[in-house]
Amino acid sequence: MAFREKLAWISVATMALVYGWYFWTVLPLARAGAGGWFRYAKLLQGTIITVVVLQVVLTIAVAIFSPREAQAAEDEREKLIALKGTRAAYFVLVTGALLVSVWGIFFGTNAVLLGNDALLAVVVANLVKDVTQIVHYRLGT
Amino acid sequence: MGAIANNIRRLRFDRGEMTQAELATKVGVTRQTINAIEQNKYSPSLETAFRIAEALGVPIGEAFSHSANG
Repeated sequence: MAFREKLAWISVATMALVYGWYFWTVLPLARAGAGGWFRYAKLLQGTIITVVVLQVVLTIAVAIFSPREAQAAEDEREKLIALKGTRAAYFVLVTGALLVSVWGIFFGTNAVLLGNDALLAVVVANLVKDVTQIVHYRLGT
Repeated sequence: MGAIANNIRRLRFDRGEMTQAELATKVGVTRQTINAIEQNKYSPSLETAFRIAEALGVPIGEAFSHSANG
């Protein structure tokens, strides 16, 4: 498995697990209007730190086992795969932003819910980027 | 459009079973990219195609060919 495919798997696994737990916990509370913004900020802070720490530790671990690949620059195929992932993520992010905006305009929202819905769009877009890259690595294209 | 075919597998064999990893190191790409090119799943840039031909010691026309019918 290519080094950068391993990084995509790390990104998918850590984001799906940690942000999955975060949204599972936060979205029902935010929709019910429970708690102040400080509570959500603390939860989000913990989530971001957990994702960053997990990704850094796992990336270092993978790099230790394949040091030559870790130091090599992206080749042209890997750059193309990265661009395909970014392209797919862009459409998801724009769609998510539009849905959040339209929902807010027509059905009303609050700051905490708006922020979390926007964050959800960012996380889903990132997952789509990583999954798209993994699919292309698996297909060999 | 057409399709790009290649003889990289045979040319590697002719050079004492040069591995994909060895060729990849000479060309400056990953082993997985050489594998994708060999299987016609990925068409390399002109620059990489030239580098592959150089690494195998053949003219580019011997390493790669183009079929108009695809």
